[in-house]
Order: sequence, then structure tokens, then C-alpha cells
Amino acid sequence: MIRPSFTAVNYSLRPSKTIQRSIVFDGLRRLQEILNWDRAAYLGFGSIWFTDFILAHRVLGLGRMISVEENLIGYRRACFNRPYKFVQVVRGRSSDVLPDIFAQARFRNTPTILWLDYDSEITEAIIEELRWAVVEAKDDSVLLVTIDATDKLYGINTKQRLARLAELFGDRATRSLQREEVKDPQLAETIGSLVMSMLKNVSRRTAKSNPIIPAFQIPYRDKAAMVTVGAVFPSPELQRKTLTKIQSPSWGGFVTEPIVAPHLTSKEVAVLQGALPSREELTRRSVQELGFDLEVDQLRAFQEHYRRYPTFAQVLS
Amino acid sequence: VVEIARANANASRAFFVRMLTRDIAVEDCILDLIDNSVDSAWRGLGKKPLGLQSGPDFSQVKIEIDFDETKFSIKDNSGGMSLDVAKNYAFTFGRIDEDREDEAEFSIGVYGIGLKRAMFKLGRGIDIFSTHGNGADAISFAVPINVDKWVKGKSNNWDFPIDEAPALSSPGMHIKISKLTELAKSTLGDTDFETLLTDMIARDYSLHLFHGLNVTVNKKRVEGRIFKLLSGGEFEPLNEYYVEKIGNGTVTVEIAAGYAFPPPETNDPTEKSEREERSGWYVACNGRIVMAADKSILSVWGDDFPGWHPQYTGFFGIILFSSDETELLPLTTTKRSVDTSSIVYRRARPKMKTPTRAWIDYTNARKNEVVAAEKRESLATQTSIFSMSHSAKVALPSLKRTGPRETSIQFRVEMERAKKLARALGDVTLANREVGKRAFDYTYDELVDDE
Repeated sequence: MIRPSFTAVNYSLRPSKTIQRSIVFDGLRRLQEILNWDRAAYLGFGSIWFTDFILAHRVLGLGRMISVEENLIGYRRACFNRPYKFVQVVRGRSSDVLPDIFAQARFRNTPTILWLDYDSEITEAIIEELRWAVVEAKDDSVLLVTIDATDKLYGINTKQRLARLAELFGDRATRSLQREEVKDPQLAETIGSLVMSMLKNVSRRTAKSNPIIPAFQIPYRDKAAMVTVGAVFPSPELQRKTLTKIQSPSWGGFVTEPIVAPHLTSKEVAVLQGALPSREELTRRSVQELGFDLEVDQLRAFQEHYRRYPTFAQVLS
Repeated sequence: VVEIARANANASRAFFVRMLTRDIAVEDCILDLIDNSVDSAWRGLGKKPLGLQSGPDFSQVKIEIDFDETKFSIKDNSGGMSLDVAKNYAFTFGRIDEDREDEAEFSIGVYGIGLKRAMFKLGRGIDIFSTHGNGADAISFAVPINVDKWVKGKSNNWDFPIDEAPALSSPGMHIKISKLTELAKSTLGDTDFETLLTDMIARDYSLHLFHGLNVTVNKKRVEGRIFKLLSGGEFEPLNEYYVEKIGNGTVTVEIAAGYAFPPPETNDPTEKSEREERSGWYVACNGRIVMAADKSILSVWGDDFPGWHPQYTGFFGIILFSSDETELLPLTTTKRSVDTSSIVYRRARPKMKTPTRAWIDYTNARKNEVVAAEKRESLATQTSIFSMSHSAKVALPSLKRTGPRETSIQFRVEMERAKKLARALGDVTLANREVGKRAFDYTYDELVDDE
């Protein structure tokens, strides 16, 4: 039996994931300034932690939410852990239950923020689901997908990985890929770009009245190399405005260097944050002066994302 | 008879543009523009038919195609268009045949609509540049067409302006298209389109490319596809030709058919096969492949003949019609199919059925004799259709039973589980049947006590 991921990973303790989520919600908040989300619904995999659902309510003020959970025990725990009264938990595989949900009258003209936050590698079934999601995306909707881009999931060597990606995305999309692009750490970005191209092509090929605009591509890594890809489908009259916003230099949804946040104690975080923002790069020496030590790349990652760095505390009782 | 009035039968420009561009795909428009360049080059190379083993030398001819989401350009060094042709023929809607018979020899353009249709389909801002002749005699001009403005024109005179223009780097044509149509924008913007177009050119101009033609797509050179058939051992592909007389004209017909690769071991529809996509009948008119890998009644399949089945994967047949009278060829206006009412084509179809039938019989016998068949197949080698020897019929081994009887086992599992097992076996890209085979062998070794 496949063990559902909520039993393996404590969702709240992944700093890179937390930073990624914060970038996404920053972007969503800015999109909300343009798009018409009065009746928008948030759909996703809330698991038993509902972290993104809580943000969707706190940051965006959304009040219609559905979480999909396949596993029976997970479903019961999710029902128990629902953070708000309006969060509905639906049991089933997302590719089975989402079409039924989208077909309901109450969702007919509803913009949806759909986050397919998978823990697994991308599969044929997920690609099919994404194609469906692009076709079904109503005006002002957002589609996000997160997948595991760990190299060994796609083959034990570059040759296998190239062949596997060709199987998934088609020979035409992958023919010009170089061996370097399917090695860790580039693989996450490569897969992110393949997913994005695939989404764009579906939108073009189906002549959508609300054509897709890419908005997020965020590789990050806690234990596994993950990538989140997202896009928005503004109504025709909001296309230009949305595009301008996403193309502005202050848009943070496109992250080139994978986010690899170091694991820090809350004491370390507090001290480091006290030294930021700073025009200069933090050095090991400056950290040593603060009383401890860190690797240079850990420092770099912290400095880049310090505003979003989460603090965790374990309650010992 | 007393005429009391005249009924207006004039077409509107807008109607023409709309009708002309209705039934053609963007990629076929681009191929139409390539045809234009090829025809122009061909005229310069003398009147010589294009066959599998002989043809004009296209090695000095260069066609450059460049595009992105906002614009399209095709440039050639095929000699360009004379001012006379531009003034009187190239832009007429429909060809004025009588005056131009010698121009038509071995061409692929036949209806006199390809160029206009292609340009109108792609965009609303069109600029055509041409340089014709060499040195001091060279004449260069530009034809700018603002489609939106032209369509609104009210007069019955449908002229386009011809302007003075600087000379191109070598005699030839350069067509630039901007203000792309919605369809062209989404097609040219598709990230898979560059490879799709490259594949189409590699396939549909494989004869021209083999005979030297240079084509680049966004600066990348297109390598022509080389079709290969098994020969040697007990295999021999069919390769023959004959001449068909129609009225005063003649059409040379060359036909090649045989066995490209082994048929699949499973007929599982979820296993999509590139090999199956490539199998079937190909039809070429004056060298240009107009129907590729056909598995329908347009070639031989169905009706009074077996319909296509994945079991027949591996069959490859190509029939080439060449004539200096393009009208005699089974061309359609979009060049993406064949005209089944054409006399030469109707006469050729029975000849296409014979090698197809031999292949069908072979694959039927092969199902029960896979090991014997594979052994014989391994003795043959893949030979390019551009270097085959003549053979009036296709030869295939006759399969007689050898060794123990075989059976096949088929079962279905969740796709994700199959992938996981493949990964655990060390290669996530293993074919399903190989995963099944190894699972069988593994269980067999564990459980069966073989003496």
C-alpha cells in the first residue's frame, strides 16, 4: 500500500516549502487586486494541516474552499481538522472528484484557485489532469501544481530520464534537451518549464477565450527537489492588466535558483533577522561575530528569503 | 432572346479571402510557400523528374524559414520572380494556364492559389520582395499588401502595388508576414511547433532533401527523413516503375513497398507507438509527399480490402507520381491528401494492394511463429529506399513451425504500478511487455521446479 504523505512528513516543518508557499500567496494577493475574486473558491489538497487553506482565508479572504483527500483515514482526520466551517472535505482521487465539483451549478461561473500540491513525481495521470484543468479554468482562475522533481524518480541515469520525459511530455517537447538539463539540480527547472510549456500549448490549442498567462515557477528543496508551476486565466478584459503586473520587475513568482532554506533554530533566526536587511552580503565572519556559524550557501539562501523564513517551535510538555 | 438585365456575379474581396483560407492548416500554408520556392528553383534547374534514385541537384538551393509568435518569414535563393510574372500571373486568383504551360513542368503548384492563400492565412501585413536576374540585368521589386485595407477596397480592380526595392543578397524571394492572424499566432507560438514543422518538412520533402535541398527552420538545418526497408536474407522490398499514358500526357509511377520494422508484440491501444504512426502508405506528387502514413480507404485499407490494424505496423509503401503536366497528378488543393478521382491514382491502387496483402499474410503467420520470424528478420538489413535494387515483387519468408509451441499472456495493471515496477527493475522506461516478461521470469524461477 502507498503510504499517504501526511503520515511521513510534518507539513509545518519544511522551511523551503513554507517560503515557496509565501511567495505564491504574495503573488495571489497581488493578482487579487486585479481579478474578480468576490465569489472565488479555493480548491486543493489540504491534508490534515490545511496550511494553504488558512492562508487563502487570512490573506485573500476567500470563503469557499474544498479539500480533496483520497485516503479514508486521512479523510476522517481532515474532517476533524477543518480550520473553518466553510471548508468542505471531499473524499476521492482529485481527477475523479474535481470534474464532478466543477460541473455543479454553484461553480459554473466561479473563478477557482486550484492548487494540485502533489508529493509524487509527475505522471501521465497528472498531466492528463492538468490538461483538463486548463480547459476547465474559468475567467480569473489560477492553476498551480507542485510535483517532486527528484532525479531518481525519472530514471537512474540521464539517458533514462531523457526517455522518461519524452514519454511524459512528448518527443517534440523534449528533443532538444541536453544531458545537463536532466541532472540534479537543473532537473527541477527543466520539469517546471516542460509543465509550463505543456499548459501553454493546451491553452493555445483549445483556443481558450481566457488564454493562460504563466505566473509562477518555483523550484525548492527540503528533502526532495520539488517544483511549483502556476498560471492565471484572466477574463479577456483583464488580460492586459494582469500581464503588465506579472511582467513588472517586482513580480516574485519566477524563482530561478532553487530555494534551499537552512534548518535554523528560532534563536539563530532571530539573531540573523536582526542583522537584516543589509546592503552587503552576510559573511561567515559576520555570523561568527553574532555568536555561531553557517555555510556560505545556507547564508545566501537565508539572506535572499529572510522575510519569509518561518520560525518553528516545539512545545515540550 | 432579349436580355432585360445583368445579374451581378462579382465576388467580394473579403469573401475571397475568407473562402480561400478556410480549409487549410497553418503548417500546410507554410509547406505551400516552400512548394513555391522549390518550383521556382526547379525551373532554374531544367526539366527533370524527381525519383527515388535520380533527380535534379538541389544542393545550391537554400530556403530559410524563421518565425516566432509575432512574425513569419521565408527566404529563398531560387531565382526570384520576373516583373512580368508578378504583373500578370503570380497574384491572379487562379492560374491563367494557356500562356504559361512551360512554366508548369514538374511543379507542385497547380491551382494558382497557394501563395495568396498561405499569406492571407498567416497574417494581415504582407511584404514580398523579389530579385530576378543577375548583375546589371537584375530587377528587384516589393509587393506590400495591407490585407485589412485591401479587403475594404470597393473597386473591381483587385491589383496590388509593385514598388521599387533594393536587391536581395541573391536572386530569390523573401516573404515577410506580420500582424499574424489569431490562428497563426497560436500555432507559431506553440512550443512544439518548431519541431512539428521540422518533422513535416523532413518527411514531405525527403526526396528533395535527399537530392540536396537546404532548408532551415529558425536557423536549424532540416535533415531529410530516410525511409528504410529490410532487404537481404529472405526479404526483398518491391521497387518498380511504369509509365501511364493519359491523353497526350504521361505520368511516371514509381512504387516501393516492404517491411520497415517488426510488427508489435501487443495490440494494446494504450501503448501508443511511433512505429505505428509511421507505418502505412505514402503518396508523392512530383517528389512532394502529399499523404503520409495513410491507414485509410484513401490508400488501400478497408472496403474490399482489410482495414488497418495495429498488427500491420511495420508496413511501409510509397508511390510516386511524376509528370510535367501537374493536372494529371492526384493532387488536392491543400496537398494534404490525394484526389481519389484521379485516373492515374485509380489505376495505381490495385498495384498498391499486392505488396500490402503479402505483408498482411506475413503478419498473420508471424503471430504464431515469433521466434522463427525474428531469427529470419535478424538476417536482413535496413536499406534506404534511395538505394534499392529493382524488384517486381515483395519477398517475405514463409514461416513454418519450428521449436516448441508458444503462447502469449496478457493482463492489465494500474499504469503507475507498472512504472514503479519498471523503476525497481532498474529502467523506468522499460516497455510494458518487458516488465511483464521479467515479472514472469522472476516468478517462474522462484516457483517452478524445472528439471
